[in-house]
Formats: sequence, C-alpha cells, structure tokens
Amino acid sequence: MSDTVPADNLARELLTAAGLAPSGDEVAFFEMMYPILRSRADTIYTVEQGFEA
Amino acid sequence: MSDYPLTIAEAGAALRAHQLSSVELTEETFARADRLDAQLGTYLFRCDESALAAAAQADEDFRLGKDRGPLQGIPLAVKDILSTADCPTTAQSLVLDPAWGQRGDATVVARLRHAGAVLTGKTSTMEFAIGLPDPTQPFPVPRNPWLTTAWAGGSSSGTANGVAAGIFFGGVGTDTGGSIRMPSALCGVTGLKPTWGRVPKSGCVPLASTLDHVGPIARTARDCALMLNAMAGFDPSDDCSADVVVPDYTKALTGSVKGLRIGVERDHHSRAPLVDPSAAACLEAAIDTLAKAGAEVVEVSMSLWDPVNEATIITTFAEAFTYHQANLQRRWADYGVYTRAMVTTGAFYSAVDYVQSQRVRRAGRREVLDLLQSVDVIVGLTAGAGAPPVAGLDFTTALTLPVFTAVWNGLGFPTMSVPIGFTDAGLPVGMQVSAGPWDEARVLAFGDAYQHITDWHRAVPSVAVE
Repeated sequence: MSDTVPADNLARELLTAAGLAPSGDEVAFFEMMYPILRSRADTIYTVEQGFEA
Repeated sequence: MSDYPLTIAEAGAALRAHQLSSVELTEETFARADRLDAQLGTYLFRCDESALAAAAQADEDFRLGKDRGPLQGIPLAVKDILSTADCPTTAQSLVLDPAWGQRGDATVVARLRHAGAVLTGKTSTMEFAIGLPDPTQPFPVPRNPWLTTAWAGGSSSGTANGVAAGIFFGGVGTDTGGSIRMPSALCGVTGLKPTWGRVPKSGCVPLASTLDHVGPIARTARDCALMLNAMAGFDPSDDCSADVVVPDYTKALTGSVKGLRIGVERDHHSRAPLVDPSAAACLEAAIDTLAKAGAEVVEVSMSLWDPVNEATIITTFAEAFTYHQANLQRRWADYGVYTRAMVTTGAFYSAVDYVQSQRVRRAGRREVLDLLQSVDVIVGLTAGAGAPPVAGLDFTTALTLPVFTAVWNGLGFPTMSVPIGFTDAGLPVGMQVSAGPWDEARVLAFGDAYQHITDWHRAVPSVAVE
C-alpha cells in the first residue's frame, strides 16, 4: 500500500482542497464513500513491484 | 411495413434490389420513433429534415449508379456526446458549453456521412457518459425495450435501446468502462469497443482520455464490421489515434469457429456477488454451442483482473475529475447529482495512485498478451444479470451491479458483446469476446460465426412489434 494514503477519513479536507463546496448531505455521502474507495484502491498495490523493466 | 429488414446488411440488400428506398426506410424509422420514443427515451434530438435529405440523396445516388458502400441510405444514430453539424450536442448535460457542439461533425460522424449513412439524430446517454439516469434533469430516462420499467444500461443507452427496438439500424456509442458493451448486453444487441486508438475521438466530449473508445452498436457482428469499416483509421486531429492499417473487416467473416481456440474466463463472474445463475447458464450454453461447432474450449485465468479493474476505475475518476474540476467549482448545482458524485471521487486519489494504476494496466496488458499466445479469443459474461429496474438505481446500487467490462478498457484490447439468451426473468444476456490489440477482425469473426449458429441477435422485443 502506498505510504501516501491517509489513514483517516480526509474526504472533507480533500473536497476543500479541490475547491468544491458540496451540501452537507453530499459531504456526508463522500465521507461515507471515502474509506470504501480507499480500501478498494489498495488492490492496485498488491501487484508485485519491480514489474517494469 | 411487414418486410421491414432487421439488419444493416438486409436493409442494404433491399435498397439495392429496389424493394424499398432510403426515404421509405428513413420514414419508417421515424414512424417507429414516433410510436416508441416516449416509452424508451431513445432520442435527445432528431434530425428529420437533414436525415430525409440525406436519404433522398442516397436514393438519387443509387439511381445514378453511385454506390458509396454498404452504409449508403441506412438510418443510423449517434450518441449525444459526439458533435454533429445538424443537431445540438449536449453530452446530456446543462453544463457543456453549447459552443462545444458547434464545431461541426466529429470525425466518425463525418466518415459515416461520407459512406452515405443517413444520420437520424442524437441518442440519450448519462450526463457526460457517467453517472446514472437522473429524473431530476431535463432529459429522458432511457428504458429497456424488453421491460420498460428496467434501465437500458449505459452510457450508450439510447443507441442500444434504439437498435433493439428497430428505431434505427445501428449507431455510434462510446465506451470508457463498458458503455458500449453493457447497454448492448442489457438490450440484446451487439456492440464493439475497438482497440484504443483505432477509431478517432476528435469531436467526442472526453470522459477519461486514456480509456475512451468510440465504436459501433448494431444488431449483428456483421453490421458492426460494416460500420467499423467506415469509422476506423488514423486521424491526425486526435492525439490518441493510431496510424495502423485498417483491414476490410467483412473479409474476416468466415462464419465458422472450427479450430478456434476459445479461452473461457469464469473467475470474475463465478465469485462476484449478485450474479444471476440464469445469466451464467446462458454463457455455459453459448460455450457448449461453440464447442459443438468445432471450437476448442479451454479454461483461462487472469490473475491481474482485480487490480486492473481497480486501476481502470481510478484512472476513470482521476481523468474525469481533471476535465471537470473547474466546472464543478463554478457550477456544482448544474451537474446531475450522480455525475457530480462520481466525478468528484477523483479528488480522493493521489498522483501515486494514478501512476501506479498505469503501471498495473501495463502489467495487465503483458499478462493478457501472454495468455493470447495460447488462445485466439477470451470470452466471459458482459454482465452477470439482466437490466436492473430504473426505480431504486443510485450510486450504491450502481457499484454492486455485476458488470465485467472495465478491465478491457484498462487493457485497451478490442472487445465485443453479443447476445446469448435471456435470464429467467426474460431479460437479455451478453457474452463479451476479446482479442489482442488491432485484432477487431478476430472478435468480429467470432461474433459473426456465433450468430450463424444462433438466433438470439434476431430476437425483437414485443414493444417493437406492431
């Protein structure tokens, strides 16, 4: 897993950094989705490193 | 019109036999649209006037002995994410600048017109080819001709449901994670995602530029071959377009699978949740049919399926967010709720995630190229269930739909969905078939041969029977 992946739920901070201002309900949705998406993204780091020439 | 042809090939033969004219054919397709579009949500815009003018020109050309090929005089439609000179282009969004579509015909649209096709209008999609049907937006919700309470699939929704209902004979779709193949499977028609770079994207509103493909949807593999002959080929105005020789795809259509080595990939659908056993049974029946017709069937496995699938999802959202970020900042409320939710998740991935995703995609390509040393094609289910109901579709349910298409976008290899039967609920099921880069001919030949020994592709939904 990449050491750049935040351990905590940083959805709200990432939305702010991206210049976005969703409604409160939508922020709650993104906070719910964030750990799910991050967990799924771990899959790409299961591929053996060093596979590129 | 009781002798109305079903396919591009049949319609072309009827035109050349003077059994009907292109104007008659086009008027009949518009009459069908008049009758069915309110139920199906196929069109965003119709181009009756320019289409009938093109049809009259096709008839005049036939009369003068001028034949521009198999698409001359054939009514086709275009997903409203490609620009056209005679219709607005919206990407089914309130956000897209209307000036975007004022650039004239996209390259593929121009090529189809040059081939004599009659372009009838612009078909429905999801906003910017992502998201879900959104009844809060001022656009039609595309429905399935086999069950109008069900979704047509997406995002080339109107192109697929229009072909299934006989509203036109074929159409142009785009496919970033399955948007040609998934609606084709759910509507019971044939749809081809070519090799990435094979068909130019100039004039196509981007979703994810390293994953976007433009391709044909039609009733048969042969019809897809006829369309691809006109659509494929290098275009210097598209940075992603490849300068690779385009064969005549119809020459590959031998009608036989004898001796063909078919790799069946079951891992992904056999362990995926929510797969309908009756859909999986359709795949097994199709494989049995192919084996009886002389194909050699072997089991194959793609160990990098899951990481490549996830890399494709990350790439989609990261590239889409890059394209939309400025508009999301300024016009958040003008986006549909599903599109802005999905695109915004691109903000949750890092540069490292994106770069690793590209490395995984390359590793996946190497693995599948190795696999294709031992088999000619790889087949599996396009989707593991029939079309879901429109009611209740949301972000969460979309994530759980058993659809197996995105990997092939990440790899960029040509992949086609062909109809292989129906679920126990009477909804169409599709099988996707893939081959190596630039080998659309092999995919089309496989689909055509399968359609020589089956007739699933000729099934017509009752809503379309007068």
